Amino acid sequence: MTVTTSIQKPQSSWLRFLASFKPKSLGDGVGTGFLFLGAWLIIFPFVWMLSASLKPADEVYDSSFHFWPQTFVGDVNYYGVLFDQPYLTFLANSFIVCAGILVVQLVTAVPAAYALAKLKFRGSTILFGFVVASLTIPINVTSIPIYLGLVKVGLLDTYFSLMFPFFVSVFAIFLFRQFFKDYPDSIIDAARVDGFSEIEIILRLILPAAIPAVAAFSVFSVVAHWNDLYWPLIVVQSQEKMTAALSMLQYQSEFDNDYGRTFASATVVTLPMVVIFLFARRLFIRSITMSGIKG
Amino acid sequence: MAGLELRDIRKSFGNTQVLKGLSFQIADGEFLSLVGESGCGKSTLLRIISGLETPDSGEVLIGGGVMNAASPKDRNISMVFQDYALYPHMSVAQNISMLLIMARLPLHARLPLLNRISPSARALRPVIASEVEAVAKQLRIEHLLNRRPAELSGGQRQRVALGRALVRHPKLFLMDEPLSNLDAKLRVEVRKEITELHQSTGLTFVYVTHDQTEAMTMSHRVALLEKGELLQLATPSALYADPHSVAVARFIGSPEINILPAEVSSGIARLGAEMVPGRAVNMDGSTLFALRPEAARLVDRHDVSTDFKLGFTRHLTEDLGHEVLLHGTLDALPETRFRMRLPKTSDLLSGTSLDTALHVGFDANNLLFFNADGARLRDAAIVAEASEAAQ
Repeated sequence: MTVTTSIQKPQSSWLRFLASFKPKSLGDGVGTGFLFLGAWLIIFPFVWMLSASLKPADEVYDSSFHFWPQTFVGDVNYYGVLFDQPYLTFLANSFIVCAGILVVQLVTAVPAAYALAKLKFRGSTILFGFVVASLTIPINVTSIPIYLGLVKVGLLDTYFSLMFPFFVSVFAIFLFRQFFKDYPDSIIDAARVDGFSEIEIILRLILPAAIPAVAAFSVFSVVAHWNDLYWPLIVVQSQEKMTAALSMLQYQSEFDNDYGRTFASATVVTLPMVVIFLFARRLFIRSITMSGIKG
Repeated sequence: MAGLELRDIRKSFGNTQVLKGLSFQIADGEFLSLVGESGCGKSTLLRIISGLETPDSGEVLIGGGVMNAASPKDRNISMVFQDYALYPHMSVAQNISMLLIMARLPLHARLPLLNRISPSARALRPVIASEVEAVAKQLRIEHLLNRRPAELSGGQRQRVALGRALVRHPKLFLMDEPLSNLDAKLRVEVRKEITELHQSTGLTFVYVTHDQTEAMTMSHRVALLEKGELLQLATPSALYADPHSVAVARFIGSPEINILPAEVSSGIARLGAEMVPGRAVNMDGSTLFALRPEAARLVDRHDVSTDFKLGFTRHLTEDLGHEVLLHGTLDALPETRFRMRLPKTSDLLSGTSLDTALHVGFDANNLLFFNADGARLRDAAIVAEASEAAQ
């Protein structure tokens, strides 16, 4: 009698990895197929971006797509993006703007959310109604009045003008309010009896409990403003104040669109976020599931 | 000097009147329980005393001073909450010391980082630590000081909450249903401990509960609230023996008092179909007869030693060992539940089934009388015909 040992044979980790893709049933196989399709739809633009960043402009227009360029100019494109322009300045600008926005958003939203969630005052319901209603106003509606105001006070092309419209995040107020509402009232009462002021209740009790919500919102806010192109395009006039996202557009003009460099630029602008994502993946996912909104 | 005095406290939430003008005094060092069904306003009243809620009108006096405008921390009160309300991310020691830190350190010394270098914080830290330790020792929780609330059992959390309240040395100790989250055995134990704590500290206690047993066993006096009104404020024994109204009689005592609807006309009272022996004095129309479960006993069919003897149908027997509870109905009043508490199982019960006809006997002087609205008829009585004839 021969014993079939092939099943028990120790497999390499690579083979085990491949074997994990083996569908357990037909339905499972179909499901995996759909997931691969979905993943491809999401990833393909990035693949295309990478591919285009290695090509000269005319080849980007080519009707036939080759992942590897026929004329390789990747070195030229990336050199230009990284060294012919102040790439680090753009990164620093983006960092300053994102951090500034986030700090002010937290400073304004946390007390507001606490008041709406836990304090009883006349008109709190109506105020909260206004907060929710203003979630529906897109920035495009308010951008022109804000722009005109910034022109009047002569603050265009400053960090302040880049951050100003986002200082109060209605979304943050809403998110934190929902989170704070679950905090037990009796602990807040106990703190009042112990002599905490309302601010100290926020700092010593509510915030430590709300760290997951704050972290999730921070991810959400930083990603949104790192990638923002619309508002920087309106208020930035000089290269010194350009954010990373805006810097991509330097290679676009009426007469000459250098798509190779544009996509090389897009790659290096996206890169920091991708790296951060790899380190803080769980936080990202939590921020998306918690907010119920896909970033 | 009154430990606490309330003068005509009123409070409404929206259109609901929660407290309808409450006034009473508590002596210094007294243990008073506020009892009532949920929604009677007892917790709101406690919050008003603590300053967490402001009354619409009326005055709160603590130790003789009007405290209406004072914030909770300035009233020199301590409060223990139903769910203990411990700060979840702080250790037991931090939980207990928080009040002292808040009361004694100036704002800058409480800030993170600064509190490490501030001289006042450095000087006070050992003082605070020793006070926390003293309280922990008193409550036998020294070994828990470094744990977090999540790592403690219900009873231990309860002790920490007591410790947090004790460390203040308050004038007034407020407790909001502190035992309701504990299991039955622990509840009896902590009940005893709170009573001992009251005796050893001599503080004024106000204790809110919906459990009449807690109120009766722990307090000097009990205030029974219903729908925002004070029904009766009296010692536990007075509440039990001498209730002002049928609502008080119903609430106090377990098993519940028996309420028997009677019809009285020209001195003759009827319980359902049965005529009551003796003459009804100072009663008329629909009247309620109330009888504590232990005031009734099982009698033999031919027994004539009690004033009343009524047929009884048993539905359920609860044998608790030291006593037996019978639930059923009187044959004369098949719609009304009748409960009996017997000191031990009776010979008359042995060998009987639920179908066996039983007889209940009780005496007229054990009955309490109420009018149809539930108000006590104090001068009402059932007078035996024979004794009257003898006079």
